[in-house]
Amino acid sequence: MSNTLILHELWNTQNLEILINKLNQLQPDEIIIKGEITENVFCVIKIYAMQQNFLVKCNHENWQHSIYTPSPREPIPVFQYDLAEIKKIFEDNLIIKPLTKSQQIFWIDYFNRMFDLLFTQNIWVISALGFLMGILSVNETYEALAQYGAHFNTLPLWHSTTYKIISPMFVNFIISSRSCSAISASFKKIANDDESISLKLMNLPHVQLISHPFFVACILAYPLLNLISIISCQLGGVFMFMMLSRIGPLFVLHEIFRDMRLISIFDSTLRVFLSGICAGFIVSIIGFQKDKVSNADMLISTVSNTITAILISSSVVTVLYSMMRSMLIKGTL
Amino acid sequence: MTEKQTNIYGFKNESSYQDLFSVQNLTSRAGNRVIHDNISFSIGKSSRFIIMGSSGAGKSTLLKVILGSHSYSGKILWKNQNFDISQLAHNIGFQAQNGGLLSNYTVAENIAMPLQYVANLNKNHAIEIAWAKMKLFDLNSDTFHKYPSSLSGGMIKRVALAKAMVLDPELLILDEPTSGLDAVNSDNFVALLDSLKNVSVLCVTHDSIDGDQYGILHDKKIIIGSKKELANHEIAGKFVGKV
Repeated sequence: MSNTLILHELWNTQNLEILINKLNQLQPDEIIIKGEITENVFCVIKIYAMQQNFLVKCNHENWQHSIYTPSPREPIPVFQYDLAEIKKIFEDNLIIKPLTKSQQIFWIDYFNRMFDLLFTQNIWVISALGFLMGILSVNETYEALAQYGAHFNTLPLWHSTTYKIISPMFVNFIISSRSCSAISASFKKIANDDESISLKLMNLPHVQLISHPFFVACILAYPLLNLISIISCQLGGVFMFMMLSRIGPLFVLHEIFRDMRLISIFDSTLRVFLSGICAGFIVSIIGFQKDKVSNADMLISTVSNTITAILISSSVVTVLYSMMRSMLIKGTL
Repeated sequence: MTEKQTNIYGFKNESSYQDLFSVQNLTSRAGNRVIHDNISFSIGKSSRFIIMGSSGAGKSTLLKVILGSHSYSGKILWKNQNFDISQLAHNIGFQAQNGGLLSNYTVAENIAMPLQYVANLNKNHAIEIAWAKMKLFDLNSDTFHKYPSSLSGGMIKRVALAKAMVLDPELLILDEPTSGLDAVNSDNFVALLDSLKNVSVLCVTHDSIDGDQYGILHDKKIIIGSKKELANHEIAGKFVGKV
């Protein structure tokens, strides 16, 4: 059933909002303009008509020239990339070709830089934060269970939480916050950007010489950082247990590492990779959308940096709080 | 545009080629959409060809086509031979719109890179030459060990130009060399560009850079002419008029 809106009144910019509301409420199929309207009013009607794809009948002599005749809408492209072009890029780049001597030098050089970015520059942050996270998590676990007299059962429980959840999550947070631009940039290299064209001009196949070393550096750095995170987290936990329960360090260490198996480390590393792949997948999906790479970088950096900052500050506060409480209990203060 | 060459009979005659670089009947597409339809132009030795056009006209895509990163049909010739970018790395200098510098390499390492990987010089020699080049391009010693992320837009453009020129190429390809620069930096950059001798320039720009020939991309075609010739053209005049 057709729904016609006839505009008799004098419409101008002052009552533009009323008109927009009227259009939204009535949702007419046809608009007939009989009264005086201003340019702005006509624009609103025209935009509405274009959205609905129907005819605006315009009877006023001033607007005869502006009658909008709808044309079939062009389909909005869902995927703006040329699939054949992407296929060609993948075919050109994913086939591993033997490298020349100078290309090998570049590969090693780039790998060293990437490994440095991912591992060496993150090791201190991972260790320090791991230690603080150990303290924080033990404090919370101990608080919750100590009142039921389950002091010693808390150790393996906390221990498994550490290597199964905290460390993998932690490593991903740190790596993504400190190196996510490198990750998304690496995905970006697959597409044609200025850097890759510059490399191409130097006969340096960009995917093979940029993305591959980065990938290898990731494969090596992730498990190593995870192991460091687990160890520093455990040590932080031991320190906190000693402070809270007055149990000797050897006993705590024995209890914690009693359940530590190679399979635990493997399990944890697998979790690091799985969550890393998820993060990489999201970055690449966003990154592949044209001109959104920097936005993806910024978003992930901001989120990760915020979480890291919260972790650091809460850990520091907890340590200070626990130390003060311990000293109060012991009567030192 | 001509040069003396010795033919097979030993006679000195006019050059067998007039154009250093030419594009003939080039058509490119993105999916089903035609971006360039049968366009042709050529660049002579030591001349400057400026490509202009409205946003989305296909200027940057044209550079990607030339640099082998976009498929096309038609001919691209280098001294009348088929243009193979992988064989001409030492003859082509490219300054990308955002500089195209590797972010985890210092300015010196970035400039030295073509010397290392195209001219196969060792790193020390390459860095020495890069150092000398930097002085020529008014880059002071402070920038030598800096990373691109810590440089201003104008400085990045200079570094990118120094990198593009480090192998003394015959053809310099510039993608929006003055975009994002303020008026002073833009003028400085153009003055720097004017000081380059014995190099042909293919430049895509929105700004006022003087050229010997202009190519205005409009409606998938190219309108070619000198500034004088295009000044009164209905469409091209709008672009050339700004120069």
